[in-house]
Amino acid sequence: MKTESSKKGYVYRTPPGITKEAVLKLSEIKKDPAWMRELRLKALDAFLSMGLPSWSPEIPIDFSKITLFTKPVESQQSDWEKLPKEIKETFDRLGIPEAEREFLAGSGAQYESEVVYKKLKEEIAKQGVIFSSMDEAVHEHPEIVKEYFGRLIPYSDNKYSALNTAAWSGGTFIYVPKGVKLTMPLQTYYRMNFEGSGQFERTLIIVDEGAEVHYVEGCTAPLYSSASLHAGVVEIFAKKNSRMRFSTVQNWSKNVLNLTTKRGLAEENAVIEWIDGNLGSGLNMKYPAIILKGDNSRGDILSITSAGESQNIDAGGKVICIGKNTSSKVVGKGISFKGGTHTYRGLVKVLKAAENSNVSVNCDALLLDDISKSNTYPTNIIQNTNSLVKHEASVGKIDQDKLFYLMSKGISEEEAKTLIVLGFLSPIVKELPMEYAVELNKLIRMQMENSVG
Amino acid sequence: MGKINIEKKEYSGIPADVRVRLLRLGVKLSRTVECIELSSWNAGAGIVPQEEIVLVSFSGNNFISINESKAKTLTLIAYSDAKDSVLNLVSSVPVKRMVFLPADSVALNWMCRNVGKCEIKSDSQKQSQARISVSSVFSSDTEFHIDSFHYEASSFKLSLDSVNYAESKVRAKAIIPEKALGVSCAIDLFSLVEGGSVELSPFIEISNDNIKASHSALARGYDKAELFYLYSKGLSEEEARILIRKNILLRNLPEEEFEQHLERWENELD
Repeated sequence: MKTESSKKGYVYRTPPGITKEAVLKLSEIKKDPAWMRELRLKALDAFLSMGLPSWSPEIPIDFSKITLFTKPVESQQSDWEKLPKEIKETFDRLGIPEAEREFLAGSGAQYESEVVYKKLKEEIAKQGVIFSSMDEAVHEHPEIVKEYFGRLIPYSDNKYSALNTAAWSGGTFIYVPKGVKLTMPLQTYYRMNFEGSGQFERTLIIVDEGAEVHYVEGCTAPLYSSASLHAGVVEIFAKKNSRMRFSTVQNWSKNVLNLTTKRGLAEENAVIEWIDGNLGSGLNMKYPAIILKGDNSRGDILSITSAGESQNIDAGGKVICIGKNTSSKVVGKGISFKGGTHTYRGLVKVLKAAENSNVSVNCDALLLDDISKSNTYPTNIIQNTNSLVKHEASVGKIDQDKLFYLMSKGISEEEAKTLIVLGFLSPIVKELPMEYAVELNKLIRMQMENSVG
Repeated sequence: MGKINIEKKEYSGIPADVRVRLLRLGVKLSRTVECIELSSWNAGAGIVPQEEIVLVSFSGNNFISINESKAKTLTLIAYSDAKDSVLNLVSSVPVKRMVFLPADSVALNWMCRNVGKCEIKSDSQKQSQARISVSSVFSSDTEFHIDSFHYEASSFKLSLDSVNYAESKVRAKAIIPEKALGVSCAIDLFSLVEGGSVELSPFIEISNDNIKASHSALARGYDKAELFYLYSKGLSEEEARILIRKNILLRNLPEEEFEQHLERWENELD
């Protein structure tokens, strides 16, 4: 027999609207320490008073209809079998438990506003690795959280980082101790199931000196008629000689607005890599950033953007060089079809102190029909006399000779176009773990179905 | 040797197709226009603008310089209805706006300094080829805002090479609308950073798939390998740097026309 909460699909929801009452209720449910409650309220004031950046595309959202917080279950589990049947079935269909068994060091799942499941392999936990929800981390590791939370992305950064700071719930906290190198990735899967939901997860990752980790996140939601909002914040601190790779396969449904702020800080000799797959959402604004603070630090951003029918996918990356001899490579590959709009937006800034730095940006776009759009807005700033910033971009349609060649071998036009697109994206897709690369290719194939004619 | 005609006209007195194209670019002119007509093969004429708006109509290969101006601000309109024409222009006065209205296979080669905050607008015609090459010494704070508009089957190339000593910004935007099928467009921005700070932003907005578009931006200091090679040939550091700067600023311009002006600027900078 179903309980009342499982019939509704949640335990508690705040009434629609981004209000002080909702933020205070959320803070009460989370049993926030005083500093966090105050921070939430300051951030809410900032959110309500801040405007959108002048360059932003139009954001079709009515905040009075967005539910700030939805609690899906009474408590987080580390055993799949204890999850409510509906949630378990959803994640089973997405292949989460299978992935955990086969190739992950740890995995988590967030359903609506809260993490419902988190598990770290025992041998990894023994090495001192912390992999928990942010809610838990605030209570269990308060000194670390207080030191790092909002340091890279303060609430005053932009309207949606303010909203996230006020309304954050769930998300992931990772701490990898000195010298620990994880050979298998950690993963969290995000799911929004309700119409008009807001998901504001907060992720904080600290990779200590000489440590290495690969974190993967995936996102999905079913399609409803009214908009849902995802406004996550991710902060990464990569200490001296550490290495962090953050991979995302974003496949939100087209009614989701994805307005996420992601930033990493690399100290001396550290490496941060963002692998960013943007396939879903109706409007996406996401520009992972790397601040190369330490000398000899490196940061790469590899981004795939697929904009189909009724999608406006605005993505790119930012690199700020502060330390000496820093280097960065940004590669963006975008496709537009069925009237979709793809935009690459990037910023590279080499500060005066960042002597002998070297940044190269390469972004290419493919337009698959005459009703789609492609925009490129890079800004490159150099403030010293011995660094190099290089940007190259090209936009065009599918090479007709390649298409003709494939079709002459008996391949249909649709399949030939799909093969060419997958080949175009492959330099980035191959950087993902095999399972994600396969998933991404499948998703692109599905999106491109019936794109001919 | 060609002729130069200079006369003042009311806005309504300038050619109708110029007015239509200016309107299309959103350029509104209401003042008296100083019209300079350059017929074929002018070489090295010095012009001193009297009015704020100067329409330079040219055919054939022309070279003019503007090193002083009686006007407080200057809008230059470079216009040609003759195929295969070139306007070579050297300027060392502030230019508020440069409007380029080319016919087929028309080029504007512009070497400038002290340009200040300048807006460049270009309007290529259907099935035409047009090219703008700008070489500039950013010895004082400089801002270029470049917008190019494209029509069916047109080909457009913009290159901007600069040597930067100040706080400078270059934003070049190509807009290729839905109906502009078969457009080919390339934007290349380069800056050698001698000092200060430079910002290069090549933007493209494309609304159809039957196009070929590319852009690039490169900002850097001196290439150490290049310097080393020149030292190995016996050049001093100063000589090597001058040669590299000269190569950068003249690589997209006809060298013989511009070289002596550049040498004079180098001497003045020293």
